[in-house]
Amino acid sequence: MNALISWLDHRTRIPTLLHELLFEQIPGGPRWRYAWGSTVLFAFFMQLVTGFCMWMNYSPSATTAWESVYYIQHQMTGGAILRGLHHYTAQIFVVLLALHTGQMVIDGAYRAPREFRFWITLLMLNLAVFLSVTGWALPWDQRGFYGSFIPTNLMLLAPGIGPVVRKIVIGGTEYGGHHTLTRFFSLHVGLLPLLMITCFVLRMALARKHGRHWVDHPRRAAAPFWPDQFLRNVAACLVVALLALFLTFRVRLLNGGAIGVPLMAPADSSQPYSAARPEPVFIWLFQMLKEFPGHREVIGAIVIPGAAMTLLALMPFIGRWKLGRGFNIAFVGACGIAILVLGGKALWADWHDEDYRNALARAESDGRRAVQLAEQRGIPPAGAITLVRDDPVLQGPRLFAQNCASCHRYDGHDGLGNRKSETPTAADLKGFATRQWLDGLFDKDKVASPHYFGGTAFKDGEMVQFVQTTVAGYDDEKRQRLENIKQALVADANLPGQVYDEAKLARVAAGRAALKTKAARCINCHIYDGAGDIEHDGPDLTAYGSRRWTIDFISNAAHERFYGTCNDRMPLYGQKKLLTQRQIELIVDWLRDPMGQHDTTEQPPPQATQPTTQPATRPN
Amino acid sequence: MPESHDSQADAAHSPHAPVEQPNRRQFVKKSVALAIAGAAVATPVTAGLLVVTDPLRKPASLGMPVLITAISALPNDGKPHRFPVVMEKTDAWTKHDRVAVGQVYLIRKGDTVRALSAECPHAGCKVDALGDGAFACPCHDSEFAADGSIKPLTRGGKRTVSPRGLDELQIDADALKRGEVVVLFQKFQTGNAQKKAL
Repeated sequence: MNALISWLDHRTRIPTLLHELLFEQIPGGPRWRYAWGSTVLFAFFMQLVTGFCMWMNYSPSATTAWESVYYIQHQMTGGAILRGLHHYTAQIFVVLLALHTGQMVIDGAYRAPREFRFWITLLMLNLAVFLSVTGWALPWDQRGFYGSFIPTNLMLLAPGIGPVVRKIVIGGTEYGGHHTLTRFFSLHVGLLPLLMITCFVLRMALARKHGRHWVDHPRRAAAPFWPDQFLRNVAACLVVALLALFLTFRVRLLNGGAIGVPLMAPADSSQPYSAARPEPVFIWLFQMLKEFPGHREVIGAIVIPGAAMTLLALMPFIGRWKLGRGFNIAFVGACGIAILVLGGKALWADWHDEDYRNALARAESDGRRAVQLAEQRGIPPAGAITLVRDDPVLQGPRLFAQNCASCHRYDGHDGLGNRKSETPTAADLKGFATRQWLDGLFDKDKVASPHYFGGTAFKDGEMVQFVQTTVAGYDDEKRQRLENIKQALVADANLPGQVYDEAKLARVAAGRAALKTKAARCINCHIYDGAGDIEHDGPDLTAYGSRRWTIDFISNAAHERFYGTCNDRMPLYGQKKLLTQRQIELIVDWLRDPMGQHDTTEQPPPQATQPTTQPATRPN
Repeated sequence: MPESHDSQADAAHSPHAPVEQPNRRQFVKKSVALAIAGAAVATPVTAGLLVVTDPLRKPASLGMPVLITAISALPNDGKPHRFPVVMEKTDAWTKHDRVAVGQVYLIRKGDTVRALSAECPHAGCKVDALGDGAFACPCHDSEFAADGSIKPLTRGGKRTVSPRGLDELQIDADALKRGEVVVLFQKFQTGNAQKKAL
């Protein structure tokens, strides 16, 4: 063994160097404060390991980036943990590096001959920012897309070189294509880590040349690095690893959610992302942009960060003056306080912003839906975005908010969860044609409320009067007939996921028969299954609320089958080409099945094969 | 998760711990230090290794019956004819409804059809069918007879390097009665004298 070591030492000097490192005498003995540097190095080591393992499974292009990250996170063992560790350690790394820089300033570790060590640390801080920005984009979900999009736009503010550098970095004028990803990716895994490693090596080489900066403790004896200081350093590193693990598992531990970082819906530059925020570590920069509105944006985005960085770089010279070191400490202290105040202000504002919290909740549920679609349907070669764009659950509420919510509501909101102050002028369509919805329609206290006809031209119409006077005075027998009619209408609407037994089917059959009778008075105004006057005023109730009926209604509410010339303000979405056929289908499929739990293809409506005696069959 | 070494660490550091032999104390301290270092390093390495070794835990995707052609489209001449193997395939995250995944040679004599994998058992190159019904590998020196068996010598007089003849693929007999050639598409380990499915 000794012979082997001495051979190795003779050829490489590695054992001697190791010995020098381990048994270096630390004046004043081991201290916890010396562990900072190793935590920075360890956090970077974690990034190299976790980053490389993701690299082995990642594919940078606009049609495969989200998809490959989805696969890592949801289909590979340990993938969610791996991505969580990388995501959170990135932020821990930035914090540790910033604190380490602050510590160097407080200790005066920038003074001659150690200026270069300090400057290299500042360079590493900048590299960490670039690593963060390029890293956010890589999952290519809405969060990452907008998180990196905004910093690249800020580059435009830099005079002269800004637009040129931006074009090179994002691979064109427009952010968001294949080349944005290939370029961000090669910077993120190639150039930037290489520069960072070079910085670490140079720092260590300089530390060997000039000696480390120890804060001497005259009353304590010097001690070798190994094992006491080593123990402190690795314990601090373990705390870093445990913190990253805790952050990765925190949602699972605190409220049983998913492990790791939630993956939002695939990037889509045509869709807004109202929850766009940088990662928490950089939230103060986001707030600084808000402090300088309009053409003064450049002050918050470039002038102040640039000036602060310049001042930091000049600290070795400032520190030579009598009051220089005090000034430097005061300055980093002020920077620290400013970061905390700005960050706190941003978090405080978001916490009290209902719109933001609503947008964030929606972004997370959209992300879960996108993952669900990928799991259930498989991702087509054109990418997961095609699944998202053709999904009623994701597109229905958006289309509703854009096209319907100026008059209608969905459960009191605009479909996307935003409450509106103005009174609706048309019905609330949540649960349209369900039993509960029809119960409300035939309730004398509700029929004229804004939930139904309250805001429309039919507020005092025949239907409202019928419900408020005739239906309100029904005896038990007539009430039972109405219940059967409602049951028949629900069966005709044929909403997915309903189950019928024999008794229920008998009521449906009775209701269908009753609908056609003069006594029930429906066919005075409506048509049902061939019964009723051609010159009707009310909509045709045949297959009322079914997928086909609702699509036809939205396409042309003024068709003689529906409101005809009595149509109030319902735009003729299909007739006037305000929406495509598919867009109307997406809205209808979402209204009929808001959670997307069922197949959207139409099934025949429930029907007893022979009205009373045959055993019931289950629809769907 | 890393193991807890708190009790040992406390014993090593507590000022009230009984005075131990300095050597023993040092030994405990060094062991604890190395254990902590190991736990810290193991955190990212474990997560990374789990993901990197994930393919070992995924089921094989081969061995599916695939419709190649109708028997009426296959010339009844006893010679090999090359057909693409087109099937549904999931490539990591991408689901292809129909994609070409390989090639087979079909040989028909009357009502019997044989299927040979087009991959040379030597190193996996695709073999070419020669006009006379024999096969030649374009990569290394290997030639095969019309029935897929090894020809000891190539036309150039070199020794064939393939360790076995072309791999025969199973044909669904019931489908063949209906007039369809359905092949159990598989790939086999190359370089072995025995035919072993991948």
